[in-house]
Amino acid sequence: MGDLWIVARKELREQLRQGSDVLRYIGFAVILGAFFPMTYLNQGYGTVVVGSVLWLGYAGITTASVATLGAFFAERQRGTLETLFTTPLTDLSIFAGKMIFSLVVSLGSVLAAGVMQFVAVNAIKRLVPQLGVGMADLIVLPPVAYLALFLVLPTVLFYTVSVGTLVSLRVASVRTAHLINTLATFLLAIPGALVILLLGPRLTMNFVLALTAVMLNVDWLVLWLALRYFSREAAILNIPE
Amino acid sequence: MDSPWAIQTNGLTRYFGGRPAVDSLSLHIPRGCIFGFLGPNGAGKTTTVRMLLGLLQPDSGWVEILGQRMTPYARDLRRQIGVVLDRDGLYDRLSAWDNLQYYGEIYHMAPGERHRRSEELLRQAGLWERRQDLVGGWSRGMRQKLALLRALLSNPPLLILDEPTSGLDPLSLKMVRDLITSLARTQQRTVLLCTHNLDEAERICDQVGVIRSGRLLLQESPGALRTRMSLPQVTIAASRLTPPTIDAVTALPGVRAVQQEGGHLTVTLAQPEVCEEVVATLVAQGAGIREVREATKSLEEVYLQLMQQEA
Repeated sequence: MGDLWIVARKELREQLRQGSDVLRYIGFAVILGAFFPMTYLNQGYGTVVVGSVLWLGYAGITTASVATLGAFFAERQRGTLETLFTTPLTDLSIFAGKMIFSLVVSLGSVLAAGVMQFVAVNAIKRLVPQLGVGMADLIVLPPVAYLALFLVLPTVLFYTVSVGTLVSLRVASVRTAHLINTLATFLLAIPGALVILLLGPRLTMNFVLALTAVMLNVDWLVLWLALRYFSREAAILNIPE
Repeated sequence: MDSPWAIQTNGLTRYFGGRPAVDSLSLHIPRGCIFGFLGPNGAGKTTTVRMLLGLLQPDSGWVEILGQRMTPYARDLRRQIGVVLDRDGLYDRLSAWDNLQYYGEIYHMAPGERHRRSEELLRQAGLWERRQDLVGGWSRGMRQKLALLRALLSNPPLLILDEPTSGLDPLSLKMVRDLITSLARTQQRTVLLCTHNLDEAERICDQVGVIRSGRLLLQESPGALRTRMSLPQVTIAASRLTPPTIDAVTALPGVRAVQQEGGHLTVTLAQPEVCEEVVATLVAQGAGIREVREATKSLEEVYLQLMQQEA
């Protein structure tokens, strides 16, 4: 367990030290947290709630995707992963340490996006009251929305990180890695759409629980694939440009 | 019982795309030895090193490090190996200090010991004042030194170093060579040194192994290699070297070749003992001998000769 934290801490130190990376993560939080809720202006409280959860989720997913590629792909590209493989660290420690980092950063991004959303909605209510019709004063989300954030979102982030890991360790071009990761993220729409088809488009307790159950199964499958197809040799021999 | 070998391989073979990158390689490197692993680009050195470290699995054969079989899961064994690969493996966005601390943590060194050892090594390498700089902005030579310090941090009994001195200035080069030599001589560490620098191999290695097309051509000391690969030669500085004198020396049964450059003769002999006969002939022919010196081939000359023979 200790090794896992050593790797996760190093990732935090390394990636968050770079100003451009931090700015990028803040950018995701600002754009997805503050600007996109504007698209729900004047559409009533219920729509704002669903929209909020969705965009907060996407803030996390985007950050998770970028952070995972940074943690794995960049390390392969620079040759540091090969040196890391020569140490007593197990593959699982390297794997899980980096995944923990990506999850922490993406959850941080969701939190930051939530704060931005809170500020944006309240600014609209104060500055242009006619556009904020139907929005609750402090956009206090109903309990089911928090349930969605705390149950579904971690499973979705886990999926994104696992796919990112699988892709980062095998492909030889960063563009391909980003492309596959983006496509895989879009695949998330499938379980979401299935649940909506079955239960309707409202954010209900059943919807959240059903989506969580589906996502947990998807997570296991992707994690199994990531571990099953992890290969030191592929990561070392196929050095990306 | 402890194995006398720091590294032992038997029939190590690895194919890439149907072609053998390493072919039936059997190495025996004794403990406390500085072993130079030589060979042209693409000869199979990196693949061999990767198999020694358990990064690649051999298609056949096995590797034993410090008496234990190397596998991808040999964690305790990895703890005993310090490594510098062809790519330095340093984190550009971390400072020199943080790079060392990270590896110290991975090797489970206590914080106090980690800090003390990092300071000692950084001071020794002249990098102490730059310890808080991000490594990304460093020159290749400075990075190489830091990568070597990282390998030494946990005091491992075995060091596997791939081109550790490339890009170093003469002063740093000497520092690194002295460090490697002292590790082997005073602390009985074993060093496997992949290098293209034959002068370096000749200066510091106890044994060299030459690999070509994945096959180990030979493994012996640089001195024994020179002796085995070349016939004895003497260089004679003399006056009155007339054509009849040269002809008389050339006609001697134990003389293989004679080359004259001004007042110097280089005579290649079948056996070292023939030298006395050569000198006697020169004196009898009226030449005035000033100096007789044994001419030795450098490891570089021997290596090139070996490569030409194998080509």
